[in-house]
Amino acid sequence: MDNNELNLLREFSPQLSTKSRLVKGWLLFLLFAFMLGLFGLYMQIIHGHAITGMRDYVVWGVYIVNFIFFMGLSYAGALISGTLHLMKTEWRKPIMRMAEILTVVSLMIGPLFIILCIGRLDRLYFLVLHGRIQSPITWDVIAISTDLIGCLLYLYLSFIPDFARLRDFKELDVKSWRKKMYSVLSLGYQDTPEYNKILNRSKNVMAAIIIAIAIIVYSVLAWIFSVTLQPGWHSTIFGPYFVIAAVYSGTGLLIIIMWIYRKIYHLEAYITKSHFVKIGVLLLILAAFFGYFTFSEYLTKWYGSESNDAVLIDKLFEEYFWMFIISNYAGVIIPLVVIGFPKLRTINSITFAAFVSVVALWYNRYLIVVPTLESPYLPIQDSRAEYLYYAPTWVELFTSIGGVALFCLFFTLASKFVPIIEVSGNAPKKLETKTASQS
Amino acid sequence: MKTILIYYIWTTRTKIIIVLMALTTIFCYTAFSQNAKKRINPRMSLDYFNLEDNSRILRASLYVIENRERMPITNEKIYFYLGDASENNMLDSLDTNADGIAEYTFSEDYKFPIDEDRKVTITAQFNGNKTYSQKSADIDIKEILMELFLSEINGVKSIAVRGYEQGNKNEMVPIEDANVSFYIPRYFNDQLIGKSEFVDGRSKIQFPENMAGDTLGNISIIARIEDHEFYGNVERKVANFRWGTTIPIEEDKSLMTIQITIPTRALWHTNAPLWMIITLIVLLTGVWSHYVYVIINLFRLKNLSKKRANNFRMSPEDNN
Amino acid sequence: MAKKKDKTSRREFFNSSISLGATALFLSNFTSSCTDPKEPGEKVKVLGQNGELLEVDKSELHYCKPATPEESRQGIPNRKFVMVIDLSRCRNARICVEKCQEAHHLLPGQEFIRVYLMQRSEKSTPYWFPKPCFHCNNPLCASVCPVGATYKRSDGIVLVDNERCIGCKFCMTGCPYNARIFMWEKLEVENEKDIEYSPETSIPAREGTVAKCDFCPDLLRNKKLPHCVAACPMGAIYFGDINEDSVTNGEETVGFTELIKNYDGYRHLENLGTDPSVYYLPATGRLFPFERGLEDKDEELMKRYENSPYFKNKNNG
Repeated sequence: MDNNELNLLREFSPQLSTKSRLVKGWLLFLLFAFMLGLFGLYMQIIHGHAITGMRDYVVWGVYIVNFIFFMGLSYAGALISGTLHLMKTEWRKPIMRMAEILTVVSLMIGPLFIILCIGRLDRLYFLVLHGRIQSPITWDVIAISTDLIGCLLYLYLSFIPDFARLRDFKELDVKSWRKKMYSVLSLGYQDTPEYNKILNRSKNVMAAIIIAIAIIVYSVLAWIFSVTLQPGWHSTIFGPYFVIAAVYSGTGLLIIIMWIYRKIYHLEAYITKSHFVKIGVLLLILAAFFGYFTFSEYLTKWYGSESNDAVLIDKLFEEYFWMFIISNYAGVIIPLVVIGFPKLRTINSITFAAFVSVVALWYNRYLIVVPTLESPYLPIQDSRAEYLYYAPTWVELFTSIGGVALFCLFFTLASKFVPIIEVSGNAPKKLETKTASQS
Repeated sequence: MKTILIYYIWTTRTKIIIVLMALTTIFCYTAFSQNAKKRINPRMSLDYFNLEDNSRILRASLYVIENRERMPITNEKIYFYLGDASENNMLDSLDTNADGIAEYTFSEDYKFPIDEDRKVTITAQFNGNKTYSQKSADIDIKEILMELFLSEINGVKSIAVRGYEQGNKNEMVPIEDANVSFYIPRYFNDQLIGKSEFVDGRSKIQFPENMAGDTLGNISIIARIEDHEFYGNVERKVANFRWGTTIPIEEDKSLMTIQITIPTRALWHTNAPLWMIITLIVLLTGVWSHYVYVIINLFRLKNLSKKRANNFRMSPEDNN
Repeated sequence: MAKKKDKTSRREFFNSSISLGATALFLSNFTSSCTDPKEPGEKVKVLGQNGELLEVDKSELHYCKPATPEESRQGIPNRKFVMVIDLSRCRNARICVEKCQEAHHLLPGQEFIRVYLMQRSEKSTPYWFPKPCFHCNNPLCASVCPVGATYKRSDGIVLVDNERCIGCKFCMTGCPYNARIFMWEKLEVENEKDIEYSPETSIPAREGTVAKCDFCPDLLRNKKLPHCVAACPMGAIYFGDINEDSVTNGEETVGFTELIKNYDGYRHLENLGTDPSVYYLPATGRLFPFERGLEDKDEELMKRYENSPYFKNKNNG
């Protein structure tokens, strides 16, 4: 281990400890929020789905929105880390791990939401026992499990060298069971050409595969909607639309995560403004694509005279007006403006644009799922009046909070398990001279 | 003294009368209240059926009407009498079944003891119970002979019926005053295909075109005299006559029956289309083979380190 | 001498006598749920279709019990059921809705058959539109079910097996006619504890699963018409076997092809390609105005129609 790496390890290893009160407090807070979610789940199991806001027409509500949203976040990680790895860019190194952890954690949280939406949890295994391969949900189950395994493998591959470093780092101040884990999980890796050959070949293969899988998996998710006949869902561009929107939202979240870790771990030397700008430019491109797809979708619906489409468009512009503006106008224009003009680009402003894009995309998903179900082919008649509109209840709020808390929890734990920036390999030299002028 | 005696006798008589009156009132009251408990008046219908193969059935149906619906009275005895309702005339007593129906079948060789009008009267009686009051019904029956014929002349298909009843001098007389309806029995009800009157003991209709049959084109035809005053209900039937159109059979893909086609593979079927299965297998194999490759590499990493460890043990002076 | 009977008794007799005879004949064609009596009871003599006398177990006379979930995947052999609804006769009496709810143990807000107030175009007269499940021949709901809980049988009926349904509700979004309902809460219905579940009766309903109009196969096996068909006071709903080319509304039995041809029968949203099994006869030649369906209805019911084109136009202009 050379000096450089030793210094890096000395700098990063304190991040791995959970001794500080702040960390403990944060973890407890997350646990409490997660308990809220569990409580919501418990009430839902006891009282049945009647306590959510879903009814016979809008059968999919906030749960499905959250599911698509979280799944979408994961594809950004997969695509960005995969592409950057294959392109062998230098500047990617500090943020790769964050992207990969983002991928895996959101892939684990997403399916939890769809499980909440299922009426009979005791029969979940029927999906495997009696699965029908003609059903898009079966495609989704297969795809998500394949993707999860793939991303876990890729993540593990990137962890191995760091585990080896941590194993060999004598000054590591963590509990002994963790040290044992590092040595076991590192598989005896040594930084020699033989090992690296095997490792790099595997990484290249996985990077290529997860790019392909990410696109396929998210398209499958889009096809769950587009193969039905509901006006508003039966669109041919749903596959690419969802993929682009997913990568867009994930990139936004990645920027936010970069900003958070930069602040709390004082990584100003490693994650510089140039990183933010580069990912920011990616965000800008994706915002443009997202705006293009959205515009294309709604223009086609609006221009044609079909009454089912017209009913939907009217609904979006009347009942859901503000949500529509935030999601499709603000969500596109703000990132474009903030990142497009070099003068406006600062780390904080780019993060703000990313935050806007993430919120906008959650609303976008909501606007895709709910208004379509409220305006079916046969207008809703002869049903109870409360079936006409969907309004989420406290149960859905609590479980959403619980899901987000679980996401943060997993992410925090992951960042405590390995250094959030890759230590091994060609680790970036500490940029001492520039620390003052950044941030 | 006399006056006292007379007074005493008078008051005793009065007392007796008063007591008697009281008793009568009580008796009347209780008797009244028994009747005032008001037993429900049921309804009973009695029908006579003369079916194919000359079997003859009396059918008594006992029911009440509640909420515009017919509620049958089950498990009650109904007595069938030949003539008036008296012991000598009893034919049989039968319990009503779950649908409130009791049926008496005359044996095949039974001859109706007909009167001068060539009629016989049948009475059915329900003797009542705590809930229901007594009810009876009666009908007159005249026996007829009826035959059903199908013919096809010059491509014109027709159905004909001939009916005879017993005349005054024991000869068979063609019947006049009756209507006959023709049906094809279908799954739920019978489909009416024609009606006509008896003229000189004969009645005929033309068989309509395009009546659906089964896969071979077989249909059954029923001719009925319905609810006649004297003949009751008479039915004659011909089964499996090949006058119907055939149900189209689609070949080679049917799974369950030869008439109904259910494809063996479809998007909505349990079995997926073959191309779907093949595509899925190809995709999954493609992806998971890469995973297997990577996992094998991980094992190779592990083995590498083991080899190195062995090497170290053998030559301790080699350093990293 | 007077005879005491009423018209319905005669009709009923014929219907049940035919069923008596036909039951005997068809007993051999039915599945095991008809031919295996649980306990051999009293024997009764019954007429066969050709007039021969048969001895039949009394318990079998009127009743084939509804099929178990595995058996219910096979249809009634040699049948393909179809429904025709005459829109010129419907006056929103809602007796079909009520009888169906009663028979399937549904709560007042749950309906398998709904009556809509539709209007072909702004200038045409509104009409009442009863909408059961259409039992499509190309059912999208069956295509998207991930566990095969909803399936189409050989007799054309699409059923839901509530012992397999996982409650994902994909079929509900897949149906363009919104024919399905979901059991959002635990239903507690008395007297349901002893009933064995059958997809053909859809009772007892399971919480967290999907349910819909099932064309009452438990009645069909016994040659009885579904509840809505028998209940309609106007005789607007016809039901039958398309292979026999005849449909009946309980009173009259007519040829199916003839009916559709003569009255220009159509199917709703035909262009979606779902190939429904329910045909409609257009609402021409009505004997009463459609407003009759709005009379004597309580407020809550009237609220349900506020979304219909007729009321929307009334309120707007």
